[in-house]
Parts: sequence; C-alpha cells; structure tokens
Amino acid sequence: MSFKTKTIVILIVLSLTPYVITMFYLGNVYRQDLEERLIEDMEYQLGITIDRLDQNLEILEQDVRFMASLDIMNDILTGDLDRRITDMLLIKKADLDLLGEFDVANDDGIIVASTDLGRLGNPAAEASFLSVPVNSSFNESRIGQLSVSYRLENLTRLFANNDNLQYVLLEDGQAVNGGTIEDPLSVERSLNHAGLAVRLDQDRDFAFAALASLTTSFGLALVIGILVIAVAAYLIASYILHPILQLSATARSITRTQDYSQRVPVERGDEIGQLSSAFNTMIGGMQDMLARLREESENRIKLAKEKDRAEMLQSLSTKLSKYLSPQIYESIFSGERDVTLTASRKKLTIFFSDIVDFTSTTDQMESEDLTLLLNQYLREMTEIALRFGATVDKYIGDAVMIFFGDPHSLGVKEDAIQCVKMAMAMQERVRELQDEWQNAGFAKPFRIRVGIHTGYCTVGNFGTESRMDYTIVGSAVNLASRIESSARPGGISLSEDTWLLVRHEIDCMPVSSITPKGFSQAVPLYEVVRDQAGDLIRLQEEGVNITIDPSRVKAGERDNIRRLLARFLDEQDD
Amino acid sequence: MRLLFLALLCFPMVTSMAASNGYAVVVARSSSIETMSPGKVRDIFLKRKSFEEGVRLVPVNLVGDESPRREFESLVLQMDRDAINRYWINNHFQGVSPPATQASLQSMKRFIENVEGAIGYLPIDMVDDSVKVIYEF
Repeated sequence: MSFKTKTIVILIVLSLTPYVITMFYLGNVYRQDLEERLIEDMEYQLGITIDRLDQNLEILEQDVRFMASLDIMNDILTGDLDRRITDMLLIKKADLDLLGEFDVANDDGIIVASTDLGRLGNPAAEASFLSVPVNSSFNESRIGQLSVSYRLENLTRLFANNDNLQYVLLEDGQAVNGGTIEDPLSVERSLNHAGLAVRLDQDRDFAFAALASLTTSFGLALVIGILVIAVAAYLIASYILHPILQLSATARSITRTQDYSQRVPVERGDEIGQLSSAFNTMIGGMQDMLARLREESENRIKLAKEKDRAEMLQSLSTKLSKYLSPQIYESIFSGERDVTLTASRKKLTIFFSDIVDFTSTTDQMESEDLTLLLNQYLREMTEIALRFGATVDKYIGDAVMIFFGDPHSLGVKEDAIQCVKMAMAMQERVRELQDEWQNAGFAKPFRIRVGIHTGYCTVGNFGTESRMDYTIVGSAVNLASRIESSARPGGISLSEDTWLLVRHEIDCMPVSSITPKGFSQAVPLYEVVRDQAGDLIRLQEEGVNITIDPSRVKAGERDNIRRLLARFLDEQDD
Repeated sequence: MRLLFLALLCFPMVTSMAASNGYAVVVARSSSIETMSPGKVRDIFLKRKSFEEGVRLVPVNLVGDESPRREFESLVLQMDRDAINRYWINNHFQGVSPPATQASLQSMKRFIENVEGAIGYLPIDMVDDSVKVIYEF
C-alpha cells in the first residue's frame, strides 16, 4: 500500500471513526429511546382499547345479569309462553348491536327463549362466552340460565386497524384477527375476561421511518465526508509526498546513473524541506567522498601496480644481478645510468685471464667435476674482483674479462693499481686452489694467465633496444686479450701503459715484447714480479732501479748482469 | 283479634262468592290445598302469607289491567289500583316485591302447573285437570 493510500485510509479512519461511532451510538440511543417511547405510546393506546373492551364486556355482563334478574325470567317456568323473554332478548340484542345470540335455558338445559328462534327447544350449549344463572323472583331458586354466544367480532370491530398499526385479539394465545404485520413492535395485555388478550402490533419500518430517513441522511453525510476527506487526504498526501517522491526519484536516478552531482530541489522550509536539504548535503558528501575514494583507489591501484612492478623488477633484477657485474647492476638499478644504447669513451684498465690448457684438461674430466671446478674457480675469482671494485664484464668459457674505471673510478692510476693487485690476489688464490684441487683428487691443476692493459675504450650498452649488452669495445680490449694470450702461465703480463701507472707500487720487470695481430708496432710487456721465497733482489733509489728475480735469470744472463754491475762499480771507482 | 277482624271483614266476600263472575283462584292439581278463604288469598297476594302447609306460596298476577286481574283486585283483594300501588311502594322499601306476573292466562295456567306452590286465577272455563280451584269469584 502506497503512502498516499495509507494517508487517505488513516485520515478517513481518524476523522470518520468518531463520527461513525457517535452516529451509531446516537442512532442506537435514539432508536432505543424511540422504541421505548413507541412502546409506551402503544401501551397507552392499548390500555385505552383494553379499557374500552373491558368496559364493553362489563356492560354486556351487567346487561345480562340485569336481564337475568328481571321478573319476566320467571317465564322460563312457562317456557316463555308469552315470548316476553324472547322479546326482551331481541330488544337487547338490537340495543347492543350484538353479533351473537342470547339464549335462556330452563333448569333442564333446554332453551326456552333465544334471539335465534331456531334454537328453541334445543339443549343449551355447555359452555358459552358468558352465562349467568337465573333465579326465580319469588323464591330465589335457580330456574335456568341466561347465556350469550358472543362472537369476538363484537370486540374486533371496535379496532381501528390500518396497515401499520393493528390490534390483534388473542383468544387463548391465538390471533382472532389481523396479525398481518411481519416482525412488528408489539405490546400485549390481557382483558379481564378469561382467555382474552389484545396485542397491538406496529410496523417497525413505519415506526422507525424517521430514524431510517435520519440514517440515510447520516449515510449520505458519511459518503460525502469520505469523499471530501479522501480528496483532502489525497491533496495533503501529494503535498507531503511531492518532495519525498523527488527524493526517491533522485535517489533512484543516482543509483542508476551513478551521477552524484544530481540534487533535489528544496522548495520548502519545513521538516521535509530540511530532509531534502539534508539529502543534498549527504549526496554532496558522498560525491566528495567518492571522488576521494576514486582518487585513493586509483592511487592504490597505481601503487599496487608500481609495487608489483617493483617486486617484479626486484625479482628480475635479483635474477639479472647474477648475470651482471654488481657495479653495473647497482649503477643501472640505482638509476645512475639509463639502460639506453649510449656509450662513452673512457680510459680503463682491462683485465683478461684464462685457464692454461683448459680444453685439453677438460677433455679428460667428467662433466660434473668440470662444472664444479669451473664454478668454484669463477666464483672465487669474481669475489676477488668485486673486493677490488672491478667491473666483471663477462665470462667467456674459462676466460674472465674484467675492467676498472667504469662505472666507478678511483682515477686511472688507482684503477690500474687495483687491477694489478687484484690479478696478484687471483694468482695467489689460484695457487692455493691448486693445492685444494690436488687434495680433492684432480690430477692436473689449473693455472691461469693474466693480461692487463690500460687504454681508451668505448664503454656502454651495445646491441639493439631489445637486447643489449653493457661492455667495452676498442683496440685496448683486443690488446689486453693478446697480452693475456702471450702471458706466462701463472704470470701477470702488463702493457707498458699499465706498467707506467703501477710501477711505483708494484714490482715489475720487462719481458719480451709482442706484436699482436692487427698491431703494426711491437708492444713492450712487463710482468709482475712475485717475491715467492724472499730471494727477489730489488733496489730502487734515485738513479737506480734494479730488480732481479734469481729464479728467472737464465744462465747466460748472469755474466751479463755481473758485467753490467762491474762496469758501474768500476766507473764509480774511477 | 286481628284474625277475627279479618274474618269479619271477609265474610261479605265469602257470601258474594256464591254470586261468581266466572273466575277461580287455582293451584296446581298436585297441591295439597283444597280450598282457601278469600282473606287467605288476599294475604297471599299481598305477600303477607308465604307458606301454607310447609310449601312456599307463589302468587301470580296477570300483567296489566285486564280481566280477570281487575276483577280479582276488586273482588278478592278489594283494593283499587292506586291503593295497590301505594301498598307495593310501601312494601318495596321493606324488601317485599309484588307477585310474579304472567302475560297471558295460558302462561298463568302453565306457571301454576309447573311451579310448586303457585297460586293464580283463571276464568272458570279454562280450568281443567291440571289445576285445582280453591276459590271462585
């Protein structure tokens, strides 16, 4: 049921209930009162009628008794030979306008006088309406009786009946006349004569006609009232509901369109207007909140995406880090270097190493052993490289390519020194590893060659946008590789460029120069001297630089050295 | 003394009875009364005497002023109508009412026949076996 219908029903019920109750109550009271008055009135009228009938019957009885007391009743004894009794009875019947007959019977019960002559000589009826004894006037003895066969029409003809008001004579409870009114208002009273009563019937419809008319008027008023109130209720409900319907429509529209910019027009200042206003405020609040939520949600999504991306990148970079030099990795992932196809020219110290006779050695080893060995070797070397701040460019099989000077640089000289120190540490570690490997049962231990060169290289990302490699290119790289190839197993060969940078820090000695492929001139080489047993002879003073590794001095060279030294000493003596 | 007076008074009537006008005082045949003096008849009809031999006497008059009532009143009662009326008016207040009446001689006769102790008067020629003459006038 809609609010409008409810309002109409409630208003009708509220406003008409008292009216209906009052009308019903008043109607009932009025009806009861009317009925009481009617009954009272009817009883009064009935009383008059009863009195009249009683009087009538009383007069009849008096007349009969009077007649019975007359002397002429003595004529009973003569059989009313002179018809004196009969004459008198006829006169009295006419006087009374009696419907019925007078009969006088003698003591033997034989009718001797009657207003109905045909009954003379007949036995008298045992019971009659009224019967009085007749005594002789001379000795007061009973000589007969005077009776009246009284027809009740004598009484009913006195009634002035009509369709609405009827007197009904009752004989032993049975209606003698009338009684044609259905469900009447009735009052009843007995006559003095035994067995007779009169009932006065009144037609209820007629009696309550005024009330019925009043009820019709009330009903009409009720219908008009209902209509008026229904219209008023409809208008009131519409007035009340209009903003609420607007609210509802707007709320539905907002739900459907999700457009929170919609507002309800506030037309009134009452509570419903305040509701509309509050609704608008609420929607406004929701709009703001939704905007914030949306923004927040977008931010969150962005953050989540970024987080996912970051996590992915983290994971990826963790994986990638294994393939990249930690410096490169750090440089890229810290954002210091863009991952673009850019390159720059820098002076770097380049390191190459490889395992001597690796191929022939590996042919004799089991694959698992080889992997174990190679991995351990590369791990150890990488650790050392990182310790010295090197950039591990790549592993090429058993060969390792390392450079110093990019992305971090301590200066060209320091880079070179660090590189040579690293190479020395590596050689030292390989020697230690040789012992371990021999102990572990590897028959032929590895030895490595190291070549170092310092020169200008192009460093950066090379390749395509989809696949690039951070590396260095240039002739310096080739030279470093060549130097490595020509290095003594277990030794560290330096180019001159490098040697010039490290010579004050690290003992080196010149070795035979090489002319690598693609180079027009011979390249002088130096080798780091390793003071293995403390028998290295070194003298570096102003004007003198002597380094002698006795283990590597060939027999023919001894005399040469002696001669040189003797010449210097001789010249000094002179 | 009174009776004597009455007897004296009635004597001329008795004597005149011989000179009958053809009327008779009658009772029912079954009555035990055989004869009656005119004085006694008079007492009975004036309701001065009510019983005779234990039987209640019922005098009966004819209605009106016709014969033989006229003759009965003048000859037997020896009173004119005014006197009679005065008499009964006086007696009415003492609770004594005039004799019963009958409208005709036939009914008179039937009444006498039917009522015990009834006493009335009839023309002689109407007398038959049903009634008994106890006095003629």
